[in-house]
Amino acid sequence: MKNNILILTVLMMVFSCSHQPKTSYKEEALLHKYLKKYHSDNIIHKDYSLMTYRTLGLCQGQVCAGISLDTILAQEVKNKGNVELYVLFDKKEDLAKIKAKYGNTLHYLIGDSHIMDQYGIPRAVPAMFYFKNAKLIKWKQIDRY
Amino acid sequence: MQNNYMLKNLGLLFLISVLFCSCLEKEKEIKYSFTQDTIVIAKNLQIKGFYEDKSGIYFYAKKYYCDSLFLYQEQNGHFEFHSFLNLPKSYLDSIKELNSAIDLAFINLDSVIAYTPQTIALLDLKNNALLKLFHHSDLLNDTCLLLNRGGKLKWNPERKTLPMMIICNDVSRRTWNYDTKFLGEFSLETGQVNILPLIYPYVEEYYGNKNYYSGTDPMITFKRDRYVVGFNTSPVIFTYTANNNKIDSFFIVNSNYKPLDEVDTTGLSNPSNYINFIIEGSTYQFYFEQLVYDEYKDVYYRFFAKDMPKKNKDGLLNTLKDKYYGLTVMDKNLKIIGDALWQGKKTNYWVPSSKGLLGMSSYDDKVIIIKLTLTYEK
Repeated sequence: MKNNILILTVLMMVFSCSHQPKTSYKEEALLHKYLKKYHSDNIIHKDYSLMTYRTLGLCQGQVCAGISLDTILAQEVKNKGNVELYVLFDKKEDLAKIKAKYGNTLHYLIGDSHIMDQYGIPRAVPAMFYFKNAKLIKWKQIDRY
Repeated sequence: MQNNYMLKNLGLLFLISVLFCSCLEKEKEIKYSFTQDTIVIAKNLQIKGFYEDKSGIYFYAKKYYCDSLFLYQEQNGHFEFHSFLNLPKSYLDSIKELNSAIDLAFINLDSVIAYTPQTIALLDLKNNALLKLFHHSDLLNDTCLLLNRGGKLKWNPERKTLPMMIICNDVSRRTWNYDTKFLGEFSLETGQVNILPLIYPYVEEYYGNKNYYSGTDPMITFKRDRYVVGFNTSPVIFTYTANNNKIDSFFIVNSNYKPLDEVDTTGLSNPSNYINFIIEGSTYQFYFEQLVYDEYKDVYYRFFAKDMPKKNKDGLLNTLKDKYYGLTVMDKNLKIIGDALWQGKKTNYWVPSSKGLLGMSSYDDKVIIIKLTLTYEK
Protein backbone atom coordinates (compact mmCIF):
# COMPACT_ATOMS: atom_id res chain seq x y z
CA MET A 1 0.00 0.00 0.00
CA LYS A 2 2.76 2.43 1.03
CA ASN A 3 4.64 1.53 -2.15
CA ASN A 4 1.58 2.27 -4.27
CA ILE A 5 1.21 5.70 -2.71
CA LEU A 6 4.89 6.40 -3.27
CA ILE A 7 4.69 5.37 -6.95
CA LEU A 8 1.55 7.42 -7.38
CA THR A 9 3.20 10.47 -5.80
CA VAL A 10 6.27 10.12 -8.01
CA LEU A 11 4.06 9.70 -11.09
CA MET A 12 2.04 12.77 -10.15
CA MET A 13 5.24 14.78 -9.67
CA VAL A 14 6.60 13.66 -13.04
CA PHE A 15 3.28 14.36 -14.70
CA SER A 16 2.92 17.81 -13.18
CA CYS A 17 6.54 18.69 -14.06
CA SER A 18 6.11 17.64 -17.66
CA HIS A 19 3.26 20.13 -17.99
CA GLN A 20 5.12 23.08 -16.53
CA PRO A 21 5.81 25.82 -19.04
CA LYS A 22 9.37 25.70 -20.27
CA THR A 23 9.67 29.39 -20.91
CA SER A 24 8.33 32.67 -19.63
CA TYR A 25 5.88 32.78 -22.52
CA LYS A 26 2.57 32.73 -20.73
CA GLU A 27 0.48 31.18 -23.50
CA GLU A 28 2.95 28.40 -24.26
CA ALA A 29 0.38 25.62 -23.99
CA LEU A 30 -1.96 27.44 -26.37
CA LEU A 31 0.86 28.06 -28.84
CA HIS A 32 1.66 24.32 -28.98
CA LYS A 33 -2.04 23.55 -29.35
CA TYR A 34 -2.38 26.08 -32.17
CA LEU A 35 0.61 24.83 -34.14
CA LYS A 36 -0.53 21.23 -33.75
CA LYS A 37 -4.10 21.97 -34.80
CA TYR A 38 -3.53 24.38 -37.67
CA HIS A 39 0.02 23.98 -38.97
CA SER A 40 1.22 20.45 -38.17
CA ASP A 41 1.23 19.57 -41.87
CA ASN A 42 3.30 22.59 -42.76
CA ILE A 43 5.91 22.49 -40.03
CA ILE A 44 8.21 19.70 -41.10
CA HIS A 45 11.19 20.41 -38.84
CA LYS A 46 11.72 19.65 -35.18
CA ASP A 47 14.34 22.33 -34.60
CA TYR A 48 13.23 25.65 -35.95
CA SER A 49 12.35 29.21 -35.14
CA LEU A 50 8.99 30.77 -35.71
CA MET A 51 8.41 34.44 -36.24
CA THR A 52 4.89 35.75 -35.72
CA TYR A 53 3.70 39.00 -37.22
CA ARG A 54 0.22 40.38 -36.88
CA THR A 55 -1.42 43.14 -38.84
CA LEU A 56 -2.20 45.42 -35.98
CA GLY A 57 -5.89 46.13 -35.86
CA LEU A 58 -5.86 48.16 -32.72
CA CYS A 59 -4.30 51.51 -32.06
CA GLN A 60 -4.75 53.24 -28.74
CA GLY A 61 -4.44 56.99 -28.83
CA GLN A 62 -1.17 57.75 -30.54
CA VAL A 63 0.35 54.29 -29.95
CA CYS A 64 0.39 52.16 -33.10
CA ALA A 65 2.72 49.70 -34.70
CA GLY A 66 5.56 51.25 -36.61
CA ILE A 67 7.65 48.54 -38.26
CA SER A 68 6.90 46.52 -41.37
CA LEU A 69 7.06 42.76 -41.78
CA ASP A 70 9.69 43.22 -44.47
CA THR A 71 11.95 45.26 -42.20
CA ILE A 72 11.82 42.62 -39.48
CA LEU A 73 12.31 39.76 -41.90
CA ALA A 74 15.37 41.38 -43.45
CA GLN A 75 16.93 41.46 -39.97
CA GLU A 76 15.84 38.00 -38.86
CA VAL A 77 16.85 36.27 -42.10
CA LYS A 78 20.32 37.76 -41.63
CA ASN A 79 20.48 36.37 -38.08
CA LYS A 80 18.95 32.96 -38.63
CA GLY A 81 22.12 31.03 -39.52
CA ASN A 82 21.36 27.41 -40.35
CA VAL A 83 18.14 27.28 -38.40
CA GLU A 84 14.91 26.87 -40.36
CA LEU A 85 12.80 29.97 -40.07
CA TYR A 86 9.01 29.84 -40.28
CA VAL A 87 7.05 33.04 -40.53
CA LEU A 88 3.45 33.10 -39.40
CA PHE A 89 1.34 36.09 -40.36
CA ASP A 90 -2.32 36.94 -40.85
CA LYS A 91 -2.43 38.94 -44.06
CA LYS A 92 -2.75 36.72 -47.10
CA GLU A 93 -2.16 39.68 -49.41
CA ASP A 94 1.43 40.00 -48.13
CA LEU A 95 2.34 36.42 -49.05
CA ALA A 96 3.20 36.95 -52.73
CA LYS A 97 5.26 40.03 -51.97
CA ILE A 98 7.26 38.32 -49.20
CA LYS A 99 7.66 35.10 -51.18
CA ALA A 100 8.96 37.00 -54.17
CA LYS A 101 11.68 38.51 -52.02
CA TYR A 102 12.70 35.62 -49.76
CA GLY A 103 11.74 32.58 -51.84
CA ASN A 104 12.72 29.29 -50.25
CA THR A 105 14.87 30.76 -47.50
CA LEU A 106 11.72 30.92 -45.38
CA HIS A 107 8.69 28.73 -44.65
CA TYR A 108 5.40 30.60 -44.82
CA LEU A 109 2.38 30.04 -42.59
CA ILE A 110 -0.84 32.01 -42.92
CA GLY A 111 -3.21 32.18 -40.00
CA ASP A 112 -6.72 33.47 -39.43
CA SER A 113 -6.51 36.61 -37.34
CA HIS A 114 -9.39 35.75 -35.01
CA ILE A 115 -8.12 32.22 -34.38
CA MET A 116 -4.65 33.59 -33.70
CA ASP A 117 -6.21 35.88 -31.10
CA GLN A 118 -7.93 32.93 -29.46
CA TYR A 119 -4.61 31.12 -29.13
CA GLY A 120 -2.79 34.19 -27.85
CA ILE A 121 -0.44 34.66 -30.79
CA PRO A 122 1.06 38.06 -29.85
CA ARG A 123 -1.02 40.75 -31.42
CA ALA A 124 0.77 44.02 -30.96
CA VAL A 125 4.41 43.07 -31.00
CA PRO A 126 6.03 40.58 -33.41
CA ALA A 127 7.64 37.66 -31.61
CA MET A 128 10.26 35.02 -32.27
CA PHE A 129 9.85 31.52 -30.82
CA TYR A 130 12.70 29.00 -30.77
CA PHE A 131 11.85 25.28 -30.86
CA LYS A 132 14.14 22.36 -30.14
CA ASN A 133 12.77 18.93 -30.75
CA ALA A 134 9.38 20.58 -31.35
CA LYS A 135 9.39 22.10 -27.83
CA LEU A 136 9.55 25.79 -27.17
CA ILE A 137 12.86 26.59 -25.50
CA LYS A 138 12.87 30.38 -25.55
CA TRP A 139 11.11 33.36 -27.04
CA LYS A 140 11.54 37.10 -27.48
CA GLN A 141 9.51 40.10 -28.50
CA ILE A 142 10.82 41.86 -31.56
CA ASP A 143 10.73 45.41 -30.43
CA ARG A 144 9.30 47.90 -32.83
CA TYR A 145 11.17 50.77 -31.22
CA MET B 1 -46.53 32.35 23.76
CA GLN B 2 -43.07 31.83 22.30
CA ASN B 3 -44.64 31.07 18.88
CA ASN B 4 -46.55 34.38 19.01
CA TYR B 5 -43.32 36.22 19.79
CA MET B 6 -41.56 34.54 16.86
CA LEU B 7 -44.44 35.29 14.51
CA LYS B 8 -44.38 38.95 15.56
CA ASN B 9 -40.61 39.12 14.89
CA LEU B 10 -40.98 37.41 11.53
CA GLY B 11 -43.75 39.83 10.59
CA LEU B 12 -41.58 42.76 11.58
CA LEU B 13 -38.67 41.37 9.58
CA PHE B 14 -40.92 40.90 6.56
CA LEU B 15 -42.21 44.46 6.84
CA ILE B 16 -38.66 45.87 7.10
CA SER B 17 -37.59 43.78 4.08
CA VAL B 18 -40.50 45.02 1.99
CA LEU B 19 -39.78 48.63 2.97
CA PHE B 20 -36.06 48.18 2.25
CA CYS B 21 -36.66 46.60 -1.13
CA SER B 22 -39.11 49.28 -2.16
CA CYS B 23 -36.54 51.93 -1.27
CA LEU B 24 -33.97 50.40 -3.62
CA GLU B 25 -34.37 51.78 -7.08
CA LYS B 26 -34.69 48.98 -9.55
CA GLU B 27 -33.26 49.32 -13.02
CA LYS B 28 -35.88 48.94 -15.71
CA GLU B 29 -35.67 46.70 -18.69
CA ILE B 30 -34.32 48.42 -21.77
CA LYS B 31 -35.39 46.75 -25.01
CA TYR B 32 -33.28 47.49 -28.03
CA SER B 33 -33.04 46.73 -31.72
CA PHE B 34 -30.44 47.43 -34.38
CA THR B 35 -31.14 48.17 -38.01
CA GLN B 36 -28.48 48.55 -40.67
CA ASP B 37 -28.35 50.51 -43.87
CA THR B 38 -25.46 49.74 -46.22
CA ILE B 39 -24.54 52.45 -48.67
CA VAL B 40 -22.02 52.24 -51.45
CA ILE B 41 -20.08 55.48 -51.63
CA ALA B 42 -17.07 56.73 -53.54
CA LYS B 43 -13.76 55.17 -52.51
CA ASN B 44 -11.63 57.00 -49.95
CA LEU B 45 -14.59 59.03 -48.83
CA GLN B 46 -14.24 59.76 -45.13
CA ILE B 47 -17.45 59.98 -43.16
CA LYS B 48 -17.25 63.03 -40.98
CA GLY B 49 -20.48 62.97 -38.98
CA PHE B 50 -24.23 63.38 -38.75
CA TYR B 51 -26.32 66.52 -38.75
CA GLU B 52 -30.06 66.90 -38.19
CA ASP B 53 -32.43 69.83 -38.54
CA LYS B 54 -36.10 70.25 -39.47
CA SER B 55 -35.34 69.34 -43.09
CA GLY B 56 -33.99 65.90 -42.23
CA ILE B 57 -31.12 63.75 -41.01
CA TYR B 58 -27.86 63.94 -42.94
CA PHE B 59 -24.44 62.44 -42.85
CA TYR B 60 -21.58 64.25 -44.46
CA ALA B 61 -18.39 62.93 -45.91
CA LYS B 62 -15.26 64.29 -47.54
CA LYS B 63 -12.41 63.13 -49.68
CA TYR B 64 -9.05 64.27 -48.38
CA TYR B 65 -8.05 66.29 -51.44
CA CYS B 66 -11.55 67.23 -52.58
CA ASP B 67 -12.96 70.70 -51.94
CA SER B 68 -16.58 69.52 -51.57
CA LEU B 69 -18.56 67.82 -48.90
CA PHE B 70 -20.78 64.92 -49.91
CA LEU B 71 -24.15 65.19 -48.21
CA TYR B 72 -26.41 62.12 -47.81
CA GLN B 73 -29.97 62.42 -46.51
CA GLU B 74 -32.08 59.84 -44.71
CA GLN B 75 -35.28 58.90 -46.49
CA ASN B 76 -37.52 56.17 -45.13
CA GLY B 77 -34.68 54.51 -43.24
CA HIS B 78 -32.18 54.66 -46.10
CA PHE B 79 -29.49 57.27 -46.74
CA GLU B 80 -29.24 58.59 -50.28
CA PHE B 81 -26.92 61.08 -51.90
CA HIS B 82 -28.40 64.55 -51.51
CA SER B 83 -25.94 67.20 -52.71
CA PHE B 84 -22.44 68.56 -52.76
CA LEU B 85 -21.52 71.40 -50.43
CA ASN B 86 -18.57 73.37 -51.73
CA LEU B 87 -16.04 74.60 -49.19
CA PRO B 88 -14.91 78.19 -49.88
CA LYS B 89 -11.76 78.36 -51.98
CA SER B 90 -10.36 81.14 -49.77
CA TYR B 91 -10.59 78.81 -46.79
CA LEU B 92 -8.98 75.89 -48.59
CA ASP B 93 -6.18 78.15 -49.82
CA SER B 94 -5.56 79.43 -46.31
CA ILE B 95 -5.09 75.93 -44.87
CA LYS B 96 -3.44 74.39 -47.94
CA GLU B 97 0.05 74.38 -46.51
CA LEU B 98 -1.09 72.94 -43.20
CA ASN B 99 -1.93 69.67 -44.96
CA SER B 100 -4.46 68.75 -42.28
CA ALA B 101 -7.70 66.83 -42.27
CA ILE B 102 -10.79 68.96 -41.63
CA ASP B 103 -13.45 68.18 -39.04
CA LEU B 104 -16.77 69.95 -39.09
CA ALA B 105 -19.56 71.10 -36.82
CA PHE B 106 -22.76 72.32 -38.44
CA ILE B 107 -24.49 75.39 -37.06
CA ASN B 108 -27.01 74.90 -39.85
CA LEU B 109 -26.80 73.73 -43.44
CA ASP B 110 -25.53 77.14 -44.53
CA SER B 111 -23.01 77.74 -41.76
CA VAL B 112 -20.37 75.34 -40.67
CA ILE B 113 -17.38 75.43 -38.33
CA ALA B 114 -14.27 73.84 -39.82
CA TYR B 115 -11.58 72.56 -37.50
CA THR B 116 -7.98 71.58 -38.17
CA PRO B 117 -5.33 71.00 -35.48
CA GLN B 118 -4.03 74.50 -36.30
CA THR B 119 -7.16 76.51 -37.11
CA ILE B 120 -10.86 77.04 -36.46
CA ALA B 121 -12.91 78.73 -39.17
CA LEU B 122 -16.47 79.87 -39.70
CA LEU B 123 -17.66 79.16 -43.25
CA ASP B 124 -20.68 80.45 -45.08
CA LEU B 125 -21.51 77.59 -47.42
CA LYS B 126 -24.48 79.34 -48.98
CA ASN B 127 -22.34 82.20 -50.26
CA ASN B 128 -19.17 80.13 -50.45
CA ALA B 129 -17.29 82.52 -48.16
CA LEU B 130 -14.76 82.28 -45.38
CA LEU B 131 -16.18 84.45 -42.61
CA LYS B 132 -13.62 84.00 -39.84
CA LEU B 133 -10.36 82.20 -39.36
CA PHE B 134 -8.61 81.71 -36.02
CA HIS B 135 -5.30 80.07 -35.25
CA HIS B 136 -5.10 78.02 -32.06
CA SER B 137 -1.83 79.67 -31.13
CA ASP B 138 -3.63 83.04 -30.98
CA LEU B 139 -6.54 81.75 -28.90
CA LEU B 140 -4.77 80.28 -25.89
CA ASN B 141 -1.11 80.50 -25.02
CA ASP B 142 1.48 79.03 -27.36
CA THR B 143 1.58 75.60 -25.78
CA CYS B 144 -2.17 74.98 -25.58
CA LEU B 145 -4.72 74.08 -28.20
CA LEU B 146 -8.37 73.32 -28.50
CA LEU B 147 -8.90 69.69 -29.33
CA ASN B 148 -11.73 68.24 -31.37
CA ARG B 149 -11.58 64.87 -29.54
CA GLY B 150 -11.50 62.69 -32.62
CA GLY B 151 -13.94 64.74 -34.64
CA LYS B 152 -16.69 64.73 -32.03
CA LEU B 153 -17.53 68.37 -32.49
CA LYS B 154 -20.96 69.72 -31.69
CA TRP B 155 -22.20 73.26 -31.76
CA ASN B 156 -23.95 74.45 -28.59
CA PRO B 157 -26.80 76.63 -29.94
CA GLU B 158 -27.92 77.72 -26.45
CA ARG B 159 -24.50 79.07 -25.52
CA LYS B 160 -23.58 79.99 -29.12
CA THR B 161 -20.21 78.39 -28.58
CA LEU B 162 -18.24 75.35 -29.62
CA PRO B 163 -17.37 73.22 -26.57
CA MET B 164 -13.87 71.83 -26.92
CA MET B 165 -11.22 70.07 -24.91
CA ILE B 166 -8.12 72.05 -23.97
CA ILE B 167 -4.73 70.39 -24.12
CA CYS B 168 -1.52 72.03 -23.03
CA ASN B 169 2.18 71.19 -23.30
CA ASP B 170 2.19 67.81 -24.98
CA VAL B 171 -0.63 66.96 -27.36
CA SER B 172 0.32 63.33 -27.84
CA ARG B 173 0.91 62.30 -24.23
CA ARG B 174 -1.29 64.64 -22.19
CA THR B 175 -0.07 66.47 -19.14
CA TRP B 176 -2.64 66.28 -16.41
CA ASN B 177 -1.87 68.30 -13.29
CA TYR B 178 -3.86 68.91 -10.14
CA ASP B 179 -5.01 72.24 -11.50
CA THR B 180 -5.54 71.26 -15.16
CA LYS B 181 -8.72 72.67 -16.62
CA PHE B 182 -9.70 70.68 -19.65
CA LEU B 183 -12.90 72.12 -21.08
CA GLY B 184 -13.47 75.37 -22.91
CA GLU B 185 -16.20 77.07 -24.87
CA PHE B 186 -15.01 78.79 -28.01
CA SER B 187 -16.96 81.77 -29.25
CA LEU B 188 -16.66 82.37 -32.97
CA GLU B 189 -18.19 85.77 -32.49
CA THR B 190 -15.50 87.09 -30.16
CA GLY B 191 -12.68 84.62 -30.82
CA GLN B 192 -12.44 84.11 -27.06
CA VAL B 193 -12.13 80.84 -25.19
CA ASN B 194 -14.13 80.63 -21.98
CA ILE B 195 -12.24 78.08 -19.87
CA LEU B 196 -14.66 76.20 -17.62
CA PRO B 197 -13.69 75.51 -14.00
CA LEU B 198 -13.80 71.69 -14.16
CA ILE B 199 -10.45 70.28 -13.07
CA TYR B 200 -8.96 66.94 -14.16
CA PRO B 201 -9.71 64.67 -11.18
CA TYR B 202 -7.61 61.53 -11.73
CA VAL B 203 -4.01 62.77 -11.84
CA GLU B 204 -2.66 60.06 -9.51
CA GLU B 205 -4.41 57.27 -11.39
CA TYR B 206 -3.10 58.61 -14.68
CA TYR B 207 0.53 58.75 -13.60
CA GLY B 208 0.23 55.57 -11.53
CA ASN B 209 -0.45 53.57 -14.71
CA LYS B 210 -3.73 52.37 -13.22
CA ASN B 211 -5.46 53.40 -16.39
CA TYR B 212 -5.41 50.92 -19.20
CA TYR B 213 -5.78 53.63 -21.77
CA SER B 214 -3.27 55.94 -23.29
CA GLY B 215 -6.27 58.09 -24.16
CA THR B 216 -7.66 59.21 -20.81
CA ASP B 217 -9.55 62.10 -22.27
CA PRO B 218 -12.77 63.08 -20.59
CA MET B 219 -16.06 62.02 -22.18
CA ILE B 220 -18.00 65.24 -22.68
CA THR B 221 -21.60 65.99 -23.54
CA PHE B 222 -23.95 68.87 -22.80
CA LYS B 223 -27.56 69.78 -22.32
CA ARG B 224 -27.99 73.48 -23.03
CA ASP B 225 -25.79 75.20 -20.42
CA ARG B 226 -25.07 72.04 -18.44
CA TYR B 227 -21.87 70.18 -19.28
CA VAL B 228 -21.69 66.54 -18.26
CA VAL B 229 -18.31 64.86 -18.03
CA GLY B 230 -17.20 61.30 -17.30
CA PHE B 231 -14.03 59.26 -17.52
CA ASN B 232 -13.17 55.82 -18.89
CA THR B 233 -12.59 53.98 -15.65
CA SER B 234 -14.57 55.89 -13.03
CA PRO B 235 -18.31 55.70 -12.38
CA VAL B 236 -18.34 59.34 -11.20
CA ILE B 237 -20.00 61.87 -13.50
CA PHE B 238 -19.23 65.57 -13.08
CA THR B 239 -21.52 68.36 -14.15
CA TYR B 240 -20.94 72.06 -14.60
CA THR B 241 -23.86 74.41 -15.09
CA ALA B 242 -22.66 77.60 -16.73
CA ASN B 243 -25.61 79.80 -15.84
CA ASN B 244 -25.13 79.47 -12.08
CA ASN B 245 -21.46 78.43 -12.17
CA LYS B 246 -22.25 75.26 -10.21
CA ILE B 247 -20.12 72.12 -10.22
CA ASP B 248 -21.59 68.84 -9.04
CA SER B 249 -20.60 65.19 -9.03
CA PHE B 250 -22.64 62.00 -9.05
CA PHE B 251 -21.56 58.46 -8.21
CA ILE B 252 -23.48 56.46 -10.80
CA VAL B 253 -22.98 52.71 -10.84
CA ASN B 254 -24.94 50.69 -13.36
CA SER B 255 -25.67 46.99 -12.95
CA ASN B 256 -22.96 45.92 -15.40
CA TYR B 257 -20.23 48.06 -13.86
CA LYS B 258 -17.13 46.38 -12.51
CA PRO B 259 -14.16 48.31 -11.10
CA LEU B 260 -10.77 47.79 -12.69
CA ASP B 261 -8.83 44.79 -11.44
CA GLU B 262 -5.60 45.45 -9.61
CA VAL B 263 -3.02 45.41 -12.34
CA ASP B 264 0.62 44.45 -12.43
CA THR B 265 2.40 47.45 -13.87
CA THR B 266 5.97 46.17 -13.69
CA GLY B 267 7.94 46.38 -16.92
CA LEU B 268 5.62 48.90 -18.52
CA SER B 269 8.45 51.27 -19.33
CA ASN B 270 9.14 48.91 -22.24
CA PRO B 271 6.83 50.17 -25.02
CA SER B 272 6.11 46.64 -26.27
CA ASN B 273 4.94 45.54 -22.84
CA TYR B 274 2.91 48.71 -22.59
CA ILE B 275 1.08 48.02 -25.86
CA ASN B 276 0.32 44.47 -24.71
CA PHE B 277 -0.93 45.87 -21.41
CA ILE B 278 -3.24 48.29 -23.22
CA ILE B 279 -4.62 45.60 -25.52
CA GLU B 280 -5.20 43.20 -22.64
CA GLY B 281 -6.95 45.89 -20.64
CA SER B 282 -9.20 46.96 -23.47
CA THR B 283 -10.09 43.33 -24.17
CA TYR B 284 -10.87 42.05 -20.69
CA GLN B 285 -11.67 45.02 -18.44
CA PHE B 286 -14.81 47.06 -17.97
CA TYR B 287 -14.58 50.68 -19.11
CA PHE B 288 -16.83 53.52 -20.16
CA GLU B 289 -16.63 54.69 -23.76
CA GLN B 290 -18.85 57.68 -24.44
CA LEU B 291 -21.33 60.03 -22.79
CA VAL B 292 -24.18 61.34 -24.94
CA TYR B 293 -27.07 63.66 -24.22
CA ASP B 294 -30.13 62.85 -26.34
CA GLU B 295 -32.06 66.08 -26.85
CA TYR B 296 -34.89 64.20 -28.55
CA LYS B 297 -35.66 62.09 -25.48
CA ASP B 298 -34.14 64.22 -22.73
CA VAL B 299 -32.01 61.38 -21.45
CA TYR B 300 -28.29 60.69 -21.15
CA TYR B 301 -26.49 57.56 -22.35
CA ARG B 302 -23.24 56.27 -20.96
CA PHE B 303 -21.77 53.64 -23.29
CA PHE B 304 -19.54 50.97 -21.83
CA ALA B 305 -17.52 47.88 -22.69
CA LYS B 306 -18.16 45.00 -20.29
CA ASP B 307 -15.45 42.97 -18.58
CA MET B 308 -15.05 39.31 -19.49
CA PRO B 309 -12.96 36.36 -18.30
CA LYS B 310 -9.67 35.81 -20.07
CA LYS B 311 -10.50 32.29 -21.23
CA ASN B 312 -13.67 30.63 -22.46
CA LYS B 313 -14.98 27.19 -21.52
CA ASP B 314 -12.77 25.57 -24.16
CA GLY B 315 -9.66 27.08 -22.63
CA LEU B 316 -9.16 29.46 -25.54
CA LEU B 317 -8.68 33.17 -25.06
CA ASN B 318 -11.73 35.38 -25.35
CA THR B 319 -11.17 38.07 -27.97
CA LEU B 320 -12.67 41.46 -28.73
CA LYS B 321 -15.25 39.67 -30.90
CA ASP B 322 -16.57 38.00 -27.74
CA LYS B 323 -16.78 41.21 -25.74
CA TYR B 324 -20.13 42.66 -24.73
CA TYR B 325 -20.88 46.34 -25.13
CA GLY B 326 -23.80 48.33 -23.88
CA LEU B 327 -25.22 51.53 -22.55
CA THR B 328 -26.86 52.90 -19.46
CA VAL B 329 -29.86 55.15 -19.97
CA MET B 330 -30.11 57.95 -17.40
CA ASP B 331 -32.94 60.42 -17.01
CA LYS B 332 -32.51 64.19 -17.04
CA ASN B 333 -31.47 64.10 -13.36
CA LEU B 334 -28.82 61.45 -14.14
CA LYS B 335 -30.82 58.74 -12.39
CA ILE B 336 -30.36 55.34 -13.95
CA ILE B 337 -33.28 53.98 -15.95
CA GLY B 338 -31.53 50.80 -17.03
CA ASP B 339 -28.85 49.06 -19.09
CA ALA B 340 -28.87 47.44 -22.53
CA LEU B 341 -26.17 44.95 -23.48
CA TRP B 342 -25.13 43.36 -26.80
CA GLN B 343 -22.22 41.35 -28.13
CA GLY B 344 -19.63 42.89 -30.44
CA LYS B 345 -18.67 46.48 -31.08
CA LYS B 346 -21.02 48.24 -33.48
CA THR B 347 -19.42 51.63 -33.93
CA ASN B 348 -16.85 53.95 -32.41
CA TYR B 349 -19.33 56.62 -31.42
CA TRP B 350 -23.02 57.25 -31.38
CA VAL B 351 -25.00 60.33 -32.34
CA PRO B 352 -28.61 60.90 -31.18
CA SER B 353 -31.25 61.61 -33.81
CA SER B 354 -35.03 61.92 -33.83
CA LYS B 355 -35.17 58.35 -35.18
CA GLY B 356 -32.81 56.70 -32.71
CA LEU B 357 -29.10 56.59 -32.05
CA LEU B 358 -26.96 56.55 -35.17
CA GLY B 359 -23.53 55.04 -35.59
CA MET B 360 -21.44 54.00 -38.54
CA SER B 361 -18.68 51.77 -39.68
CA SER B 362 -17.02 51.64 -43.07
CA TYR B 363 -14.93 49.36 -45.21
CA ASP B 364 -13.69 49.77 -48.78
CA ASP B 365 -16.36 51.81 -50.55
CA LYS B 366 -19.20 50.82 -48.22
CA VAL B 367 -20.62 52.59 -45.23
CA ILE B 368 -22.89 50.86 -42.77
CA ILE B 369 -25.18 53.18 -40.91
CA ILE B 370 -26.39 51.52 -37.73
CA LYS B 371 -29.54 52.67 -36.01
CA LEU B 372 -30.11 51.71 -32.40
CA THR B 373 -33.69 52.00 -31.18
CA LEU B 374 -34.38 51.81 -27.45
CA THR B 375 -37.67 51.10 -25.74
CA TYR B 376 -38.17 51.63 -22.02
CA GLU B 377 -40.41 53.21 -19.44
CA LYS B 378 -39.18 56.45 -17.93
